[in-house]
Amino acid sequence: MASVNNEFFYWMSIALMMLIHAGFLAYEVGASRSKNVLATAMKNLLAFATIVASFYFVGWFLYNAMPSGFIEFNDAAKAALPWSDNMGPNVQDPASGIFWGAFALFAATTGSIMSGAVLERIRTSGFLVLTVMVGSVTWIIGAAWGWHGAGWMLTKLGFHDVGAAGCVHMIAGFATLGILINLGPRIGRFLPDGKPVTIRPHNLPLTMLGLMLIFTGFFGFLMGCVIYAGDGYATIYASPTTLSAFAFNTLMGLAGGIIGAYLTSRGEPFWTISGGLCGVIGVASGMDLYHPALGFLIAFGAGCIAPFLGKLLEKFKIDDVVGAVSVHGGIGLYSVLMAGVFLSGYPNTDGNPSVSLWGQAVGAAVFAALGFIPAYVVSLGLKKVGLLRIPKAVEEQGLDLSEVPATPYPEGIPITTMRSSSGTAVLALGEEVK
Amino acid sequence: MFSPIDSYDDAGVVFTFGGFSLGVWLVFILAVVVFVGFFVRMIQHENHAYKAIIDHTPIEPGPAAEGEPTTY
Repeated sequence: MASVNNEFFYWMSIALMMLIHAGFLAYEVGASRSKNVLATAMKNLLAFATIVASFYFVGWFLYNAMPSGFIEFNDAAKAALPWSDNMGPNVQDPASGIFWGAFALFAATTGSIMSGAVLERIRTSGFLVLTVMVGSVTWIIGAAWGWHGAGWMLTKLGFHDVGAAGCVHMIAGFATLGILINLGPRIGRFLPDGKPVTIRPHNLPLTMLGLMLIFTGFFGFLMGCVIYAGDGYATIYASPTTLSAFAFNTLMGLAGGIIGAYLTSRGEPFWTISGGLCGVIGVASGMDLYHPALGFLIAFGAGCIAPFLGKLLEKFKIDDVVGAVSVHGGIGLYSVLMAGVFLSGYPNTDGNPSVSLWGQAVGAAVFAALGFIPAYVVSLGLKKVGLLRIPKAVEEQGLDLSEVPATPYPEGIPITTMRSSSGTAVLALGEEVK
Repeated sequence: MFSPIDSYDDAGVVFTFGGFSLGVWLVFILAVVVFVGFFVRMIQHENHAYKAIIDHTPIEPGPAAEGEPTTY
């Protein structure tokens, strides 16, 4: 088969990754109550816009300047400055823009992972400050360190995380945890004795459609995780691989994760479909090397664990609306460590150390800290100046009413009727939790 | 006026102003200013909107459009 043009390959990767954002939007809109639907959608749109712009301003430079750990003005870094010859249309350079674009979508994905967890009570402006920080600064520093052919985690530790479970998912998940600690739960989410109260999504089917879109977008995400030069594929660490390898373990990961989460959540729809995401993230670190049956088992474990992580967070009164800390932070950590367990001893290229559990553990600790600490500190600062959380009255009445000059459902939302024991149809009314 | 090239023969950089130029610096700085200004304006909008809710003043004065339900 004739090789595909390199630019077209990554162009398709970018297009498919856009589906992740369509999915996030559908997922989070569905997970919101009907009083926050449009504000939720606006938050997603603005997160995408602000991350892409800021990633152009600083993100791509940081990736190219920081593989050694600190900023170095090497040739690649200079070429990534926004005023350089390579950071705009240049007919001699078919690579810079398309790679920047793919990484910008990774950045937007990382920043948007946090978006669902903080629904219905965060100030949009405060969230955008945080998502720009994570999407255009912290994750890309993590990527320069551990997801780069010259990153110090590879050259010193033999770190292996081909599917970005660490720099994308762990950093986003741990950043989310840092923010949620300062943000606090939605009003009514926990009773005074700490017992969690379920606040129902206004449209659960839409959340499920959203996750299916995210699954589809993940194929674009993973497409962007390989280096394609027109004559074959390599991992980001320059070891040879194939898209076939990724196909085996992405699909087996999806399958294992869904089955695992179904079992431990006892068929709860939210966790079951989130289990698919857990499965893919769970195998992401080593999906170029796992046997598909092993990938299935690792993903199964990821799916099994995630609902328990969600319950554990509830014990600490952390209100993570979409399970981002569990699915991305917890399972991202699991993925990096599983690669240490099962890939230990695998060689790296260019004389870099072999993969080891120790190297994976150190890398995971770095990513956890890089995700958690800046997000915790900055969100604490935003909280101090009143820019983190919306006022109580606004939260009770809904963000759509205050912030958004439009009505999501001007003709109302159809209400399900239930048949009573006497056979007459009655409305199912729910009391809003405050 | 802003073209860095006179023809496409052996052309490399074709974007407006050309790399490392005063024009690129100006538009870059302007883009960053607009980016920061967006955040400032958004915070102002939010503060105004939240105050209106707390003060029970209507966001959009005037009668509700026909068929539009009362607010939540």
